[in-house]
Amino acid sequence: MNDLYSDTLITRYRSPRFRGVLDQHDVSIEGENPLCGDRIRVYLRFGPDGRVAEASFSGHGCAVAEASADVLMESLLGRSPEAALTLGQGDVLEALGLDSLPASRSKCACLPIQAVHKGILEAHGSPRCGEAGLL
Amino acid sequence: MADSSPTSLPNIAGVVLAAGASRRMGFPKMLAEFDGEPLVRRAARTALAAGLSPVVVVVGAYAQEVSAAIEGLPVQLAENPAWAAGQSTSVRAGITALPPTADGALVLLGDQPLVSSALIAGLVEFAAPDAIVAPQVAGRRGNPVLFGRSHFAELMSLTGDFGARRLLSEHPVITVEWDSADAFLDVDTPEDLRRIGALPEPEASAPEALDVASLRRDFPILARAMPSGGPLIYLDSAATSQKPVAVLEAMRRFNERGNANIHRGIHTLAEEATALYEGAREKVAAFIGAPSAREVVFTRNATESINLVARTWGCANVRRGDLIVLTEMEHHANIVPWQMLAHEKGARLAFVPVRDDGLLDLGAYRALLAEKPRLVAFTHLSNVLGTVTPAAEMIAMAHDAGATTLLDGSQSVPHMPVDVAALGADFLAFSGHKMLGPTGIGVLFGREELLEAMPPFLGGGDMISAVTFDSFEVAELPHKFEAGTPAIAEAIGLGAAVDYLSELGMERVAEHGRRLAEYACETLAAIEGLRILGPSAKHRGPLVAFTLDGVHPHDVAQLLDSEGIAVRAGHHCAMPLHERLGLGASTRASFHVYNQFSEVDALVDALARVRRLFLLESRSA
Repeated sequence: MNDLYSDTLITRYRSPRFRGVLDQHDVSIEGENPLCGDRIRVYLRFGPDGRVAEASFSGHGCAVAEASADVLMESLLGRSPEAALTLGQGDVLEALGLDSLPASRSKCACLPIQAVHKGILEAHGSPRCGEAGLL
Repeated sequence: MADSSPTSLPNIAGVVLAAGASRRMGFPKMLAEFDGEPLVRRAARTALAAGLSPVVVVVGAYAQEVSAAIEGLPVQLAENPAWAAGQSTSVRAGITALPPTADGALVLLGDQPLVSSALIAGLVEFAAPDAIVAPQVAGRRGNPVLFGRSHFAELMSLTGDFGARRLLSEHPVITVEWDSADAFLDVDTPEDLRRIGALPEPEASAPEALDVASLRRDFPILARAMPSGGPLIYLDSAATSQKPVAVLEAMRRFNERGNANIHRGIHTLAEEATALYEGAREKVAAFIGAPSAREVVFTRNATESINLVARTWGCANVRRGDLIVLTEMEHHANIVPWQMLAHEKGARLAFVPVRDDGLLDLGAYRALLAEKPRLVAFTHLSNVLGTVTPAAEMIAMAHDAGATTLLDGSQSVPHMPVDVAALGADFLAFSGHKMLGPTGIGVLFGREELLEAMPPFLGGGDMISAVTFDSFEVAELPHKFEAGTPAIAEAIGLGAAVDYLSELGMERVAEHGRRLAEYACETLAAIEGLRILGPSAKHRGPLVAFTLDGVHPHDVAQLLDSEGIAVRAGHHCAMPLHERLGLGASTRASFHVYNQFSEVDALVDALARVRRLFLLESRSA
């Protein structure tokens, strides 16, 4: 019906691999698009090496937001906080097999990304992370 | 018909007024046939037969068609582009067209088919340069009226919709007794035509269905191709409606040929612009049954109208501890201005609950009224649930409790007959762009005594009658609330939209919307996992909001868009209502006069495909 709804996007939405709540976590933060009514909570646990050891999300959003969250969680694994902050919309789209998003849906893909960035910056509060390209 | 002998009489001209829009008729009444000929032709022919010379026919609305109807008659045409500003403009156009040799003019209404040349000749017998001669039946004066030449200047200085009647109260009138009251019958409604046998009796039952296939040609946007390759299926009229050519043309004509500022210039364009702008106000007033155009304030939109009331009436009347009653189904536009006012004044807000069947809980409303609220503000038609509220009843209850009332007519005025007098509303707010008109123009109706007592809203030009370095005096209503240059072309466009809707007939418009919504509810309900919000079709206006299990409304809207179907997804500016319904968002299909049943079918088919694409196993959060 529509190029946006790639097989990957539909699959990741229907059968997410990273949906769930991490009881042991270093980061737990909710992103919200009040205009859409979407809320996604992201959980991260860092390993002894300081890199992301576990990642998951809960909550509800549209297919774009939820599938983006799912592929984002996958991309975060093994990344240092600094490297996590470099992940943006382009990476998520690539993982979903999409070239672009309609302008009105960009905020859907950004919802989990912004939550992750905010959570990491709050957890580390480090100015050295501040310059990383957010989106 | 009595023959007259023109040679023995002063030189009396005839002015046939045939410029009006026949709002109440539903079609150009000048073209309605009586005894085998159009009314306007009959009037012109009668004037000629009575020996009037020249006979000037003033045309305005439907100028081409009306002109065609008198083709071949030795009459003179006078165009009145400002016809919408009232009958006075037509009188002026007619008198202006007269030759200097005319000793007097008989002003005839084009819609009085029973005026005979004998009656005219009877009036002409009493003609004199300073005389006004009118027929009288059983002590009641009527038309046509003959004015001697010395009254021409005064006729040309008339304004408004009262035509030449004013002169009759200010000067001595020679009355000619006539024996047939029929002579005075003017045709304003299809019933009038039926009474004189010019129209067949209507068949009983529901209003005739709109001819949607043909009226769709009035909306150029419906012909545009969509990226999907298919047609545009526009189901988002509750957000904004599409505009017919009549509206687009009225605005284009004004911008190309008539543009000027209003209420100030002493030049032709300024006068025409003022007449058109004020004419639009008159049309809106008639459309909503406002007793006076002074009660119609132009704003930018319904939101501004409500804010105007909150900032002026509210600031002057709401005090600490006062209660303002709203409902749970309000649009943000009818919540936030009151929250702002309540915060400022220390007033309280209470919300009439929405029951699970989508109707307001009137028992709870009654209980709130017992607390003697200062104001009750509520929607006439919910933009999410589609619920048509029992406005007249709720307003009467509010008045009994001593409250002032504001009705949000944003969704009702475009879709159903709304009569402020019948409803008893103190204030009514609505937008032009949802009723086939342009964006940037809205309306606040307010009862005159309330508007008079309210402080002004914005300060500036147009809202004052005098300004000194120290102070100012506010202008008369409605200008008091219209500071600065308004949206002139948009007001004119709204006037054209009102004409368009009136000619379709609001009963028929409402019936069309009701049927579409009913059909949509029936067919959508067959989709598994689809939940329709709001009440049964009986209480519903022309919109249907719904949710589809497992598919976010934004995904629904995106996928429908890929098939050329435009719907709204989100909270529709009613977040508190969605919270009450336990939803983050919903999808809404909304209709207007141009929507077809086949478009509902297309929506249902597409939704079935969306559902298949997303066919989900149950998921947990």
